[in-house]
Amino acid sequence: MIKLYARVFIRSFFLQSLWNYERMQNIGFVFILRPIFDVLYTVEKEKKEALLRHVGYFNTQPYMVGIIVGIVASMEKEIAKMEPANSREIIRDMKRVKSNMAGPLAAIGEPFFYGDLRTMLSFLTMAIMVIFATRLAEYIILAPIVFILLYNSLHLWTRISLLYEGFKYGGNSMKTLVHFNSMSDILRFGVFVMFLAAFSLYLAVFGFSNEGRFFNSGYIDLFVYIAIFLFSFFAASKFGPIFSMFSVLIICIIISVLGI
Amino acid sequence: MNIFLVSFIGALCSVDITAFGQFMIYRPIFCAPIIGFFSGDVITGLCIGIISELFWIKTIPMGVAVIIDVSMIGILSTFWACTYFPGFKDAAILSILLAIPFVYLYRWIDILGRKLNVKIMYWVEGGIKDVKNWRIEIGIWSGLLFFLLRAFLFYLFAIAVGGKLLCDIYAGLPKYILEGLAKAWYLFPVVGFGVAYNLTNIKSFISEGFQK
Repeated sequence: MIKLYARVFIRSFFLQSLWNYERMQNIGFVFILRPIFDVLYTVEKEKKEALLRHVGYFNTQPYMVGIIVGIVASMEKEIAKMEPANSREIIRDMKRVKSNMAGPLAAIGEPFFYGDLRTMLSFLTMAIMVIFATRLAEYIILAPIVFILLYNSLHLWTRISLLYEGFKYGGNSMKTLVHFNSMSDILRFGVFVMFLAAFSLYLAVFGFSNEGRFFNSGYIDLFVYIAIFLFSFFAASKFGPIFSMFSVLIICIIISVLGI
Repeated sequence: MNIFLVSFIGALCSVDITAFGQFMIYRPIFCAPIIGFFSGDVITGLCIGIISELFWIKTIPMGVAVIIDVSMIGILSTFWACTYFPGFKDAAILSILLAIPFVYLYRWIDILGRKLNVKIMYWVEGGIKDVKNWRIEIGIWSGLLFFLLRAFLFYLFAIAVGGKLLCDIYAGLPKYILEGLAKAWYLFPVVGFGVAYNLTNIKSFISEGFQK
């Protein structure tokens, strides 16, 4: 059984390998389920029908797919034991569960992982890089590696635990998702703290270094940085990041032309 | 650093965006310093990584959106800057600016490539109907291979053409523009923090989070 879980777990990384505009992750989902169907269905016709049940539209956050796979596997296990005529209702329920879960799971997973966790760790890595750049430059390459290790420890734990819970508890495994809600507030606070840390460290180390200074007065430099920060904040909200980038570039060129 | 090796690393990072894993190795904060480290100028890689990460912090593959390949901005600009102009801050900023049109061109190619996946998907579905289940594995592996191959080939093209363009453009720029680019080296991270503050949910946390 562990071998089967391991195969399904490894296959879950391929969920989007054949991502397509019509049915998104459908073939990836079938690819994950295939080892389970090989065990559940010995009659080729039944296996074919089971596979065809899952080639319809499917799209969710890739890290969260394990719980749907687990629930679908437990329902397919029941279907495999039934006579085909009696399984219509459970097949309908399974399709409903699958389609109704994919959207909400994506709505939980995407802001949690892509929005908060990754952003917080990005700012943390920037802060580490800035500190290392001045004192421990030879170890600076460790900073991005720390980013990947920290992010993926939670990412892989989520994949493993959701798949396990889905297999073990079937439909009851949904209660596991409560943890995401409680952790999301902590992460949002973490994003805020790490942003402040990274930004203030950058200004302290690079912004007010001899090379980074625009004027001789520290107060005027600070004013320039705050003005640029506020300008890019408002310009990004109105016109996008690339507009902010090119606007500041033009400002820099004008400063150079004026010889300031 | 060998351009085939950079292209292969770049292609692996591109595949990480959608096709396999999502381990976040495609984020510029990771891939740009790594390329910088192997090209012998980790600080340039680090700064390009910070700038690119901040500007494109919200560029993530959510839902059906096909995003620009942010790893390409980090990898191409770091490789060009470290190979052709090591230690030149103005050239590093110019290389970031030059990477942007390449990334949008690749996005267009990526969308075309994903349209091919629809045909492979129907081929796999037909295979399941005909009890040729091996087509599922072939379909998945071919989808992954096409993702990898198009990114690898595009990297080869972009590194060669972009490197030549960077050298030509840099040589033709007047002094005041180069000085402006060097100033931007220090200001771009500040702009990036402003952009990141606006795009991430720090704003909403400040207004809502403290009230909780």
